[in-house]
Amino acid sequence: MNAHVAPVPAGAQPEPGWHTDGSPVRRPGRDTRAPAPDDRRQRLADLLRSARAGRREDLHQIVAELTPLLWHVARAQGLDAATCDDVVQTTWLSLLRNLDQIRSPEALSGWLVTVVRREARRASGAGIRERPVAVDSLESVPDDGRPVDEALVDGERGTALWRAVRQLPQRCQELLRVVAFVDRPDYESVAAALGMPRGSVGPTRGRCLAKLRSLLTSQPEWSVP
Amino acid sequence: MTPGPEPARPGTGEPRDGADLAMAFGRQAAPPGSDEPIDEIDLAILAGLAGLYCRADPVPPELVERIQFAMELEDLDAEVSRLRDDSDLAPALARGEEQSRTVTFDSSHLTIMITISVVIDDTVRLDGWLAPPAALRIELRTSSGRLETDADEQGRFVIESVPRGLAQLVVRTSVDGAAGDDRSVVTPSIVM
Repeated sequence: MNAHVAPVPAGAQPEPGWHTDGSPVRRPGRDTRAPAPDDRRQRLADLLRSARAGRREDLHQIVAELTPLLWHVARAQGLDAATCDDVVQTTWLSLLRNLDQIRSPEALSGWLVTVVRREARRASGAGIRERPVAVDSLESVPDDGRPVDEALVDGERGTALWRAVRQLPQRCQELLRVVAFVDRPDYESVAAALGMPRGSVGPTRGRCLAKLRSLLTSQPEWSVP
Repeated sequence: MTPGPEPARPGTGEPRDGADLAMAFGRQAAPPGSDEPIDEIDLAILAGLAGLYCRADPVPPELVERIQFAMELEDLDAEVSRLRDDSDLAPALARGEEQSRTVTFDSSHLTIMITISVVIDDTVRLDGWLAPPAALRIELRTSSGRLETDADEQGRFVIESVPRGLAQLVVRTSVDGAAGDDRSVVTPSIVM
């Protein structure tokens, strides 16, 4: 599984690939400061086009690329792993009937996230299951095996990040968990699919991310690489 | 960008949680920096989160493979049935310990119940019931080809000598395959 948001080392050019090597800008109308995600977007657009033309192996490639996003969307809804397994598969199968109406990677991820959340809510029965957030979740291991395996969060930085993110409101946790698996050009469409106001994740840092960042700055273990 | 067409089923009054979130935040001052453009520190935080969740809650192995198998389906317009949540889910998990299990799939107009039994020669026998009862064409897609049968008037069907592994049921709701209002029903892939 690749990291979907390429880490940019601190101190790097704020617009890598833009000033230094003079490489042509692929899509002048879009945010082009992160060439790698943009390349990925172009690749997904190509895959989507050929998948819509009937090439199943390209559809399979799309499944491989976007299943992690859908998995984390479903899991962020608080369902157990077996149910999420079914929800994610049902969502992909539902796409078959709708593929010919979906024309861009942004529309694709927006559609998928919308449907996977709807399926997750259906599976959970009585709609939204809000979970109270323990302030110090590292000590409160979940009782039903549903949330993530915290024992696998290792390293001081990982622990610091985990501790900080668990202090956020539940919906911020859901949003950031999902956004972490979204390519940058997709932030807006996914935010919309999550019911967030447009523009709250894309062009601006957004409240959830700002809150997380301010929590992190108070943790000595966290330092930006 | 719009998130594409509305999903097939009408929503059931899904609450606008985004609006709730906006309201919740509206009651307090925005955290400092909310309006700053996203920068490399934010990207590093998001990458850290992705790594953290990848490690702590990974996509189950073979989920992608099961999905890809199910999506090889030829009938693109089929209705997707959902595994009923009281089904005995643990598909591959308890293999060898149990000799049969029953799984139910629901769709808008058809319920499919199957009992999967392992027989001596290590193949699988599948006993199925359709509700409401109907004599419909049943296909079982397996990794080594397609098995077909017809349900009887009581909606019962049996498929024998099913190879172990991934499989997916397709119930043809129009018997002769003619175009009609009724769509075929497919199940997610399950591990026999």
